[in-house]
Amino acid sequence: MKVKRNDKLSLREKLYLPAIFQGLGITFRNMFRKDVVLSYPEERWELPEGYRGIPRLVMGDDNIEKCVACKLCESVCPSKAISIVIGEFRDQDMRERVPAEFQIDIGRCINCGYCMEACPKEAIVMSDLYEVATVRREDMIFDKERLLGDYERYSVDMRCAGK
Amino acid sequence: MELIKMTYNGVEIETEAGKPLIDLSRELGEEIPHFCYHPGLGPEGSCRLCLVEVAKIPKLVPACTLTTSAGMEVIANSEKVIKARKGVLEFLLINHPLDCPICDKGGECPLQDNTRLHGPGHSRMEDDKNLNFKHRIIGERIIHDAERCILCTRCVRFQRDVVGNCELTIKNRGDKATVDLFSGSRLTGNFTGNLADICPVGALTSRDFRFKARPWELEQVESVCGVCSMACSASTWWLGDQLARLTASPDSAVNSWWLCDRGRYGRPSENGSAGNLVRLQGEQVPMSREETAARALEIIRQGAGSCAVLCGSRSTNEELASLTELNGFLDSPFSPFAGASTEPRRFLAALDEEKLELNDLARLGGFDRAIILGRDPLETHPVLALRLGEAAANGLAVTLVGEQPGPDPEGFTQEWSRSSETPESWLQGQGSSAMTGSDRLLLIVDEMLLRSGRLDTSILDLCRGREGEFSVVLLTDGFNRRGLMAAAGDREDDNDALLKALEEGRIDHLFLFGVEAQVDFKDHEQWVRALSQNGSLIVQCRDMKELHRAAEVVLARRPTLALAGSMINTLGLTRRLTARSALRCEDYQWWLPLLSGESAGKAVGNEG
Repeated sequence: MKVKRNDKLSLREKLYLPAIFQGLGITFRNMFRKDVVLSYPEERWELPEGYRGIPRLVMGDDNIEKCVACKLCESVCPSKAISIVIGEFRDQDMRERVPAEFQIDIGRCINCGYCMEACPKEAIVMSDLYEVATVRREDMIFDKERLLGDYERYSVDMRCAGK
Repeated sequence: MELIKMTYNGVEIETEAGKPLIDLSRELGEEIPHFCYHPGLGPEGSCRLCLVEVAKIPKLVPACTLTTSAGMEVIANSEKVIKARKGVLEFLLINHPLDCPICDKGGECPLQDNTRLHGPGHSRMEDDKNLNFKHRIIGERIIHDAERCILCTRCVRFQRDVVGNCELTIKNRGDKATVDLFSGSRLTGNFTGNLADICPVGALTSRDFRFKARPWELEQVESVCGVCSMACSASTWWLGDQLARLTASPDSAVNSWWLCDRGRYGRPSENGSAGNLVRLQGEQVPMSREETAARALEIIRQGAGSCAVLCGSRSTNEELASLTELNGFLDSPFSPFAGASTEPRRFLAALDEEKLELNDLARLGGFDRAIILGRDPLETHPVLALRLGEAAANGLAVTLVGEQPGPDPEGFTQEWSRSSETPESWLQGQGSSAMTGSDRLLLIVDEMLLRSGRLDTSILDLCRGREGEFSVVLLTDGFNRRGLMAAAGDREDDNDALLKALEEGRIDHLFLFGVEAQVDFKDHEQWVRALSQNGSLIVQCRDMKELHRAAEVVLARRPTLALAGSMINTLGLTRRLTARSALRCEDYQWWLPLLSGESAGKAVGNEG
């Protein structure tokens, strides 16, 4: 197919200068506007309500994890990031079933929140944590203790992990 | 059966008379929901979920107790029926706890399914749910959760009508009613695992499977149980490469709806295999499958001429065929079939000639007398004992003749008449009158009596001499003993020649495949002694641990339930063994290159 090109420039285009001043005008106008970029990591973004970071487990009031290892999150997880081993709780009258192991591979997690929706016990929720960069894949596999723990502390740990 | 015409949901159909409407609906593909009805237990009419509308009957009627008859008009999907189901389910759920996340039945639960399909979406109940005991251990195999129970009484009826020992009952009334044991007792017997199968909620669950997996994670494969030679139909449930559980599959010819606990839980030959080992400078060293196979081929090639094969009852028919070929290739003068004795084979040939064998246990009801010669089937083939017990409740007279006291009679087997005489003397004495006294006789013969030469085919003459029909069942030991016998044909060889040659040191190399020592060898210890002093031994069995240590080469052998192939059960039926999808091929047959003349390097890799 033949494309028709307008090879002939007008006088205004030939002079270049009007275009240069037009461009500089935009630059100067933005110099006096308010900043939209954050100086991460010194400055932090204020997360909106309902933000989906990586999932975490919830501790119950009785100091036992709320999770009963029903495996619904494991089966609903589209990226197969969750793996659970069922265990019997030591005091069967108090609680019959707990997860013996609960792992989430954060490297696979796509933060979709399906696990939170599937959970019948509100035992898994989406946290605010979004900083998951590490230099080792093993560090991306969160075990039960880590998923139940304080994510703030772990997020610092993770940033230091590479050093 | 008489065929009648009736209408079902406005469609005119032709069907047999006297069939429960639930069975009819299942055949039509739109099963009426139900809890208390079970085809193996019969109708009860207590759950009220199967209510349907029938023309000319003013009220709704349960489809389990009502049977088909000519001109009947059934409507199972009217508004009235749907409303009734919703109401029944709402009542059943009043006290049912929200345990689904921790319940082993969750995911395969009829109450879950029916609530999803027919139930109300929410509860109107404002009061608290009734509390009751949970996770109570009521037997070696079964754990009981009374809160989840919907009082369908399937378990009570199973213990009462099938096993016949009445160990369970319903205690108290109204909302306090629970299934309970009679005081101070525990569930006993060899069939308790079935309770977890038939419970339509998670009230009775298997301790063995407790919290092991969720049903949707498992791969269900229809196969057979791998313990005794009944080879009952069973579903194997695989969690990855682990066998998570066994459940009964309906099969009227063999096991009806049931499995015994020995088959369900005990997998005696399934103990771990030693893996692939090769002896190097006196030490057994683990090696890869190919290296091990190459070493085994080397041994066999070197020793051709003084090399023998011996395969046992844990081999499939296909493996036996291939090993027969290998035995021919090696020019071995000995029979390669361990435990396929001549006398039982003669007996079977005689049965075959006159088509005397009973190979469908659904026909048990057609006999009026059963005579068991030998060990108690409750010990050797428990499901056969259960089927005989069921038939005995409907008028079959069972006589057990064997000097060995079996396990304590339980349930229906208590009503069997027992004689502690030896079968030989019994047959000479009162046996002849007992045999002539019945119209249709079933003779059940223990293979062991034939193997040891205590009885022979002449017992058939005793039966022939009487009036009326008769059928015979030969109870074999060993999983695929019948397959071995079929492969051995009419060859007159009881392995004695091989044993003698082994003891005299005339055999340089012996390949042992799929042998179960306790049942395949007449004198187990003598064989082990003879085998361990042998030149070089190639072993591919899961049993015979004592020989693994003495062997030159040990090849990994799959457990019976991980095998694919066929076997012949004690009733003479060819049964299919199916393994999980990754293993749906034969076990490693490393000797195939010998038969096809290929080089060892190109060993056929046919294991998944």
